[in-house]
Amino acid sequence: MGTGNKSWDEIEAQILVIGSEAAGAKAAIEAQEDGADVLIVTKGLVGKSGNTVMAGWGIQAPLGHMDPRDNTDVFFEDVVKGGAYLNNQKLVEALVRLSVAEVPKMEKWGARFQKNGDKFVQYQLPGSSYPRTLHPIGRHGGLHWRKAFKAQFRRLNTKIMEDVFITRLLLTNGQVSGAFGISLRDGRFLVFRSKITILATGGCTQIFRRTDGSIDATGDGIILAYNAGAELMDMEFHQFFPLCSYTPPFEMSNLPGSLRYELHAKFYNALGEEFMGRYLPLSKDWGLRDPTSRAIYLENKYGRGSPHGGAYIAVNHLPHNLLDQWVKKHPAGHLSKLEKAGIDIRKDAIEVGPGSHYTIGGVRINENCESGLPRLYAAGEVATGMDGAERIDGGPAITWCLSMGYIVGKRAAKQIRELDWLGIDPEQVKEEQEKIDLLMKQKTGVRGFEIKNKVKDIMWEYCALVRDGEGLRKALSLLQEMRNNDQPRVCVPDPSRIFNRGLIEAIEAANMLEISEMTVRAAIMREETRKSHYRTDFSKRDDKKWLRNIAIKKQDGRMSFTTISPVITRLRPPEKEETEA
Amino acid sequence: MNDKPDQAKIKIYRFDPTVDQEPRYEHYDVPPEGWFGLKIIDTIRYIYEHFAPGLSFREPCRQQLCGGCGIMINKKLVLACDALSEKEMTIEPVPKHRVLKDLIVDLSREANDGEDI
Repeated sequence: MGTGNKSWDEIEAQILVIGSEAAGAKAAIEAQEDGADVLIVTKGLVGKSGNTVMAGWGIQAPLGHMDPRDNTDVFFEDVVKGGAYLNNQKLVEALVRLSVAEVPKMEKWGARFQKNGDKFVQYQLPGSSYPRTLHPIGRHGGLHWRKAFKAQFRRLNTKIMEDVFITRLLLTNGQVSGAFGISLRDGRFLVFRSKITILATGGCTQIFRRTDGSIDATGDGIILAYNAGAELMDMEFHQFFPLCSYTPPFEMSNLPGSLRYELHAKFYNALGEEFMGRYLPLSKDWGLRDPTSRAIYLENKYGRGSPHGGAYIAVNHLPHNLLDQWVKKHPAGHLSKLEKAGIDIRKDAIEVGPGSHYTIGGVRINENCESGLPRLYAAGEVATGMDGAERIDGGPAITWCLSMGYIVGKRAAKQIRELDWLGIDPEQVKEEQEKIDLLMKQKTGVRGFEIKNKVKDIMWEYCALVRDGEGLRKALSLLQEMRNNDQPRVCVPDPSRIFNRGLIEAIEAANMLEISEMTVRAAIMREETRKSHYRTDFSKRDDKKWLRNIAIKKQDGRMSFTTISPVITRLRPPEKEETEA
Repeated sequence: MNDKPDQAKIKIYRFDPTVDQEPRYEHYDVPPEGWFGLKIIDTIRYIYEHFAPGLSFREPCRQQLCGGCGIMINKKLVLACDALSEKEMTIEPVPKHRVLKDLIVDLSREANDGEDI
């Protein structure tokens, strides 16, 4: 760690993992098990940042424990149909194949699941043909994932640096040779030198006003890759979760989801109508997340929503003794948040509504999770290709993290034996330092949180569940106005280098602004409706023109958009398909 | 209870090891919109946005899941995203941990600890 007279500290690790939660943790653990020297860096605290700890209800794998007809082929088909055929089918094949071993491994690592003898209890959720989702015991699934990973970190003595904000990937001869970051704990600049770098930084759910995701999810890794020259894809697709509690706001976490998934809760509007069939004649109350979210959104547009812009879910139609049995099945205190809010599930409804939940787009990867940039992998939500235009319900997000983490961990551990170390280009380091120093010098102007708030409002208003060309163009002009007027005036009022929230938020705000512009531009291009992308002015799916992914690359400092064919191995869209958006 | 709520008197522990010899307390008069009926984390954010741009704190999940925003309010340990703001509050970092800055303490010795579910 010697520094000489440099103004930064240099740290070496054969494999640098950026992001400490499910995808990053899994990658690090798998690589370490094969003898690799790994270092994890994370913007926050291990197990107390990102969205893994918040991912509550379940995790899926086609084990066939409840229905022997389920297998990896059916899982593959469900995922690709759910994604409306824009998935990278080679990647999906790899991920579903690995899920059969990697999901049950979580039990060996310390997560505990509902079981029936030696079989896992599996639930069938919207989008799955058979029961497939394993449900953890206890208060909340995310705590199981955290416990399992931490146990492995302990066992393997994993090197972790917390509170390190990576702001740039470093390149040497067109290959990723490490990363530059700020140690938030003491303000030092850090240069990480690595043979392989793995991005596992999660999504950018924060770009929308309403979200049930972590405050950390500002798309940093997507922009790191983009700025380094990697290709992004599917940025027009963002998933909204329909069961965020609106009163009290965004606090019940997975409880409304529990009522839906375990008790088939019903949705009601303010008139007491079971309205879902109006929008989803096939699936009704059992629709996928985005169509269900959209139905709630539209009910509000027609003046039939709940006071805070949502709808209601309830299970009061069920017999009391059945509900009592269900409550008994869960640990004491499972419903305490509802009780605290004065809600009795035997009688009352919960006000719920959509919130930004998961970023479908991200870094374009192949089936080995390699980005287009040599020595850079991406795993988990930061990457794309697994979900197509929509992720199905039932917990594939954590499943993807495990499968992708396994792929990159094993591959990286093998590759480092053959790869040479690359030198670090001090010019890039100095340039990044100067950028941050300059930001710190601007004491007045627009603060990062103000930019974030404006971005969130614009995206919620014009680019969320229901889109049209006019609104999207309006959003684009507002975002460009911000880029011209606000972005150059970003300020960091406080001079401290330690945990300077103003500095962190200024960088995050820039990332959010850029990702929002990409989202809007891609949404303008895609003149059709496909799953999570819903255009009122192009209300049909158009496979002739739009069975394409939109890829985005930085060229001469500007966003450059192209369309490419999705990777199709065996499942093509049929001529006619019964589908609900 | 029908009375219009007053300004809250809020005292926050401040400490920046790069400039401060000793921790100090800063006082903030927070109008009702910044505290009444709000969670403590929202009040802390209000103070950061309106009065104290250098205030350091953690607010990762806001859903009482991650435990990252643990804090002392009037000498009681709470999650800032769980407890409601009070009209008179002293906000301090979690005790028995090294303070890194303001309300942020060093939790790294817990990074690899197991936890109950």
